[in-house]
Amino acid sequence: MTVPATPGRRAEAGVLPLDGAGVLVPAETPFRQVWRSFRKDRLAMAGLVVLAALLMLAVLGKLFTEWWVLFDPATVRLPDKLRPPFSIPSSSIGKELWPTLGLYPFGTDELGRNVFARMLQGSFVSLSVGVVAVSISLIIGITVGGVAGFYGQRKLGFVSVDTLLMRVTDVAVCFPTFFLILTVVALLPPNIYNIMIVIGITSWMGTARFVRAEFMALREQDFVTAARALGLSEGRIIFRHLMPNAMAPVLVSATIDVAHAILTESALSFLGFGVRPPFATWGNILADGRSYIFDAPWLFILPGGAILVVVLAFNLVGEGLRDAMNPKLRRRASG
Amino acid sequence: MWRFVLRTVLQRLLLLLLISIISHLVIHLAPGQPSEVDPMNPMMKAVDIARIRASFHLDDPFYLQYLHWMRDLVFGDLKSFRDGLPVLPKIWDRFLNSAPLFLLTTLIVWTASFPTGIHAALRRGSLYDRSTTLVAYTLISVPGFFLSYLLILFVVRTFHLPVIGQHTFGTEHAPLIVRFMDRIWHLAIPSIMAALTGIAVLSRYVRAQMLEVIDQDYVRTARAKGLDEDHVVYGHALRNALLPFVTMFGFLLPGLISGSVIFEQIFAWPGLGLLGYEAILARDFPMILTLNFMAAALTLFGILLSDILYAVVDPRIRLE
Amino acid sequence: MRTKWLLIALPVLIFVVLAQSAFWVPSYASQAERDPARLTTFLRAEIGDVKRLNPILQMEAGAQNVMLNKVTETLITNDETGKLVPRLADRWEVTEEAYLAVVADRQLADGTPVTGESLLGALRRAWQSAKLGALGASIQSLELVPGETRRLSETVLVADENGNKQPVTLDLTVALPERVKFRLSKVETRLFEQLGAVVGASYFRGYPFAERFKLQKPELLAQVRDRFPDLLAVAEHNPVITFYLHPGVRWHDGAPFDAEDVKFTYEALIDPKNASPRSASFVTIRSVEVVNPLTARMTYKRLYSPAIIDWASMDIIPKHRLDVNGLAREMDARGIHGAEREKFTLRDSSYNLKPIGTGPFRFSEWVPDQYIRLVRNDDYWRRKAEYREMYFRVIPDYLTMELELQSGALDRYEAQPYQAERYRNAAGYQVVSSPGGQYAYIGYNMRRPLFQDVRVRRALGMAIDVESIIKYVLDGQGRRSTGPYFSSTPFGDKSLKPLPYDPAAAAALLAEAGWKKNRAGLLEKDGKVLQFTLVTNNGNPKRKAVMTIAQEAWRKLGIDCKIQVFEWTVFIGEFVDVGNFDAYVLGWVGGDLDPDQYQIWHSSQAHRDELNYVAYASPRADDLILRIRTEYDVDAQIELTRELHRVIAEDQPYTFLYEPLMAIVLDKRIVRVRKAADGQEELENIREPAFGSVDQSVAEWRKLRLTPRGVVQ
Repeated sequence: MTVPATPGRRAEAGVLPLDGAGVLVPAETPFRQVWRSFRKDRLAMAGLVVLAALLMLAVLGKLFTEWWVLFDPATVRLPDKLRPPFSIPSSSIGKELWPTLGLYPFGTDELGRNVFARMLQGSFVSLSVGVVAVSISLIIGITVGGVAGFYGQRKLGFVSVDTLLMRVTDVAVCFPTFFLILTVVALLPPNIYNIMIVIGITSWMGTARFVRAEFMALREQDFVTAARALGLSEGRIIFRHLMPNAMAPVLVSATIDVAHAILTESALSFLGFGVRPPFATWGNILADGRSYIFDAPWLFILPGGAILVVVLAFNLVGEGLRDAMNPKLRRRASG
Repeated sequence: MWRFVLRTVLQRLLLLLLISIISHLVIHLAPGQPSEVDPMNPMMKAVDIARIRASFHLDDPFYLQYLHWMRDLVFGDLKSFRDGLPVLPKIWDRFLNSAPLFLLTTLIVWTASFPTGIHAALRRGSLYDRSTTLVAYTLISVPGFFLSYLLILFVVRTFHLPVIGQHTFGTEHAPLIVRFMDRIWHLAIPSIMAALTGIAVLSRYVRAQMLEVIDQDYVRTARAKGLDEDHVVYGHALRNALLPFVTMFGFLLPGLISGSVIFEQIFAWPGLGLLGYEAILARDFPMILTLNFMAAALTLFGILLSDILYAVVDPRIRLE
Repeated sequence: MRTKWLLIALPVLIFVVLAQSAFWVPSYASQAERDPARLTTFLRAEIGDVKRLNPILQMEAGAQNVMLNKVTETLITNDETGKLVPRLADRWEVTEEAYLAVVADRQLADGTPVTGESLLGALRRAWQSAKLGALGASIQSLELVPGETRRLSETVLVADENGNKQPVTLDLTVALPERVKFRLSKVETRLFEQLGAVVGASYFRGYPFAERFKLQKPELLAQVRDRFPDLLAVAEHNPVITFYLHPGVRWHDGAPFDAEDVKFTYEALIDPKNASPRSASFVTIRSVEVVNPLTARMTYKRLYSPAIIDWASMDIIPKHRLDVNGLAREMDARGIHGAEREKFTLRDSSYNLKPIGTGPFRFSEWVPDQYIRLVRNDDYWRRKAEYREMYFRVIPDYLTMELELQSGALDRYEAQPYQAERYRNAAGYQVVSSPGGQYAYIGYNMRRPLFQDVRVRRALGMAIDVESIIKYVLDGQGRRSTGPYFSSTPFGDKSLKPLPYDPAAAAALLAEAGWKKNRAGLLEKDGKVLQFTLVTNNGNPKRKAVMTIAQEAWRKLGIDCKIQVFEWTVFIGEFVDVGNFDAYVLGWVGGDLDPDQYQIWHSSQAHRDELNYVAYASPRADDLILRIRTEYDVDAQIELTRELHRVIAEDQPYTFLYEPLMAIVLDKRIVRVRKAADGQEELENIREPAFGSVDQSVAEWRKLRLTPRGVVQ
């Protein structure tokens, strides 16, 4: 992304057309507008930085704990169990079992495993639980909402597509979500994919409603009518014209949903239904660490703090995006 | 209006039926046996297990099991797999335990959110506004059980005061006032913990709503008339900002059943959430299904209620 | 503006009200001041709730904690050294009746054809001529019993059209032949072998069973045929246990306790309508007779030496509440009519929720998933309990238990090792460890070719450092387990060395078995990598730790072991119980007094819903197991159990890990009150008993106002 050479003037230039209440054509792309507005939100920016760091950490974590094992999350060193952060391995640990860096940056757990390595490994798993779950919910939500919004008037026998899909959505909304997740996760074979899927298929309803509303509103607008008159294919209308316009609220809710999914995973872990070994997630490190809260508080506080920071970052970025994308608010903020 | 209500109620009943069938499907397709069928029991023979399976209809086809459940639920003699006790009285007992926690939590959320939210809206951009924003997001982002344990640990380690459960065990013969205050204390900590997220979310809403109305023309007019600021804010602006909150009351209802699994688990609070959790652990199908059914019913009822409430308070909306 | 102040005042007011309540709550230190009755209330924690409180309907440890010898009582019990001692029964004796069928077309050893008279005559001559040696001394009488026709009903499993096995009750009649009856003063396991000299060794072979049975449903012949020898034994041992009951004992509702209650307890156990999970231990009983109100006589169908031990854990239930009349009264009181009455069984009785017994505590109240409350029985027929009230609190989490202990809302809980460690030297608490009567193991599925090689099983076991697990995972609170018998019982072979921790030797063993390292560092044989999945259940941190440690240890040998954790019911139902696993981590609980290992190790018990999960099959072990079941001589039995212990340890179907000690954390203000004959009291700290759990003496515990100093340690 090119950094504006003279931010001050750019900002000024951006203010003008908007203040003209849409009479003038904006001088910059919508993305730039959003970014400019977003950048002013210091909390959201901080969140973005944290997320960028997290992404890097997750990739590095995958790299250093699985492919090039610099930090081994699996090595058991029983004599060194429950060592505090920054402690050095005891003499009973053979040199071949010494952790990289020669110390335990985050201490060790009840089996003497390096918590730093486990958290590093967990960052990838935790993040992917959130991202995959939300991707699933987005796919379902956009499909259902898009179809209902675009093809809603068509009839299937005696009901319209819209009615049918919205009733399905109603049914889904009425399930008590967390209780349902708990039931299903408890009954299904406990693997990480099931947890992703279950969180995904219990959280698409909001997206579906957003997209439907947006599509219904956009469908009647002139540019769509024009596109139709030009003989563009439906697929092109949907993907080139409607979808990009409907994306703004979806993006915002997706960001916040990732935060929500990470929290849900940790809550499931706490109840004993979370991601099972051999996968380490922050949620299950936290849940396991709870038992040792008197003996080794870092096992509880470190993963808990990590979850807090990451979820907070997602929430702040999401809210920042929402504000930045909301023209009304933006006007107010700059006015 | 009444025709509308009737039609919606019928629609919702149909939905409810659908939901109950789907939840049956979900549960019966999944692996796992009711815990009564306990193969770890060294004295249990194959014959005994088969007998128990038969008496609970576990080998019947799906639709028959569903019909058994429906019939038993309607006639009120649905029994738990776990202990053979009727399901409905058990749910009622637990509901009575959950209700005070739920009510106090709601009370704290609704009373604490308004002053914080309004204050933030009035001082938009101030240090107070920015710090409450950050605190609110932090509270939304923190895993509920993480914060609760830190607090419990602090209270127990520092004051040696019991915080788990509904009352302190061993005080059954203490004076009435001690027992009463003991109950309040045991109610206080979990409901404050459970309310934190609610306060964070709701105070943000209040703030946003207040910002929405505070720039409206009638507020400006009121100000222009020379009314004092408090009057303008609390008399004119707040009254209009309140409208959307009325509908939120309806959405609170399902929280009674499913909202509190985590907190009830932490505080060993014998409420509905814990009941559901225990039922899931024990594969107590009748109990899981009934709770699920009731939660769905409450949700549907909540939506209906908020529709009606909205129509009642906002004359611009008509129920059609 | 009023609204403004109201909005601010309301939350402030609520917080003030909530905050001030803290000042009323009793803390750990002030509990006795707030409420003196706290000192006579005992609060203990249970990890889970019970299902039913009826001794014949439950097996769980939790329900036994509440009932066994607190509310209800057993006829006999184990004292703190493991010896059987009287409880409701003042004394008991074990004798035998035996029957020898007259097989008409046979000849005796001296060549005379067998008739009733000739057989009896030959036996009597042998007895009187002291030819039978020591056996002769235990024979009290001999007589001839005429043949008779007996009606029996047997439950068999029949596959229905869907292939599901359903229980079917089959009625049949058996024409019993003429038989010689022996009365013996003690059980003689080898009676008939010793009679071989008189009747000829081939006497017992090839009896024509089929012609003596008539089936109501002949098509089920195949299912029941192999039970014929059991139903009509040519030579039959009928051990007899006679209990002489303590006079003047009363149930909590005032009704007298007598032998009818004992008889009823047996009948309720085997009544199919009650579906008692404990019935298997009592089906070997043929009949229970009430000789007089204080004498109950139980006759067994065959030799079954664990019988007396079964009675040591079986509480007696009240006939007047639960027999047909008792249930009818209950139905009347509860207004149950019509078809419902037909379906009403003991399982539906309100007794299961509010039991009565003869024990030192009366059942008072049960709030499911929260607590059970007992109050002292002031009319108890033995020494009265010190505590007035006892609560069993359900707290499904060990951290919560610990928090409750620290805040004084709990007096006793079973701690995890790392928790117990903290209290060992803490001022206000005492920690008592007792053998928990359980052991943990890794089981290998011997249906899989990989695990059929004993060298592989041994190597896997030798790779695991069990001593370290005990030292660090259990914080020293465990003993090494070497085989199926507990180290606290005499049955195991204590001289047996556990499998050594020796990864190098393990690698050598695997190499010997043909497993060589490939380029990726994994063991390989015939192009197949040594890989399998180790599973266990969720929610048990110790098992999860063992699993992780084993995986890590095996990885170092070049074994690719995957690990998975499942929900308990799924783990058992979908994997372990149906033999669908490679290896698993689990434990066995209880049965520490029971030498019988039939259900877990006999090769016939390896099917679905049976307990030989790993499909262990060893002819030597099978033979030993059956002999142990029928051996009444304690010393001979111990010889056999020790041999079985060695055989199984040799085969290593399990890697036997450890027997965890149960660490109980108690408030130090609790002491045990010993009372001398002259009423003199002596206080001592709670100590670990040589046998069983520390809770056995709970009726003698008392809580003092202050932490005691000068108490006998």
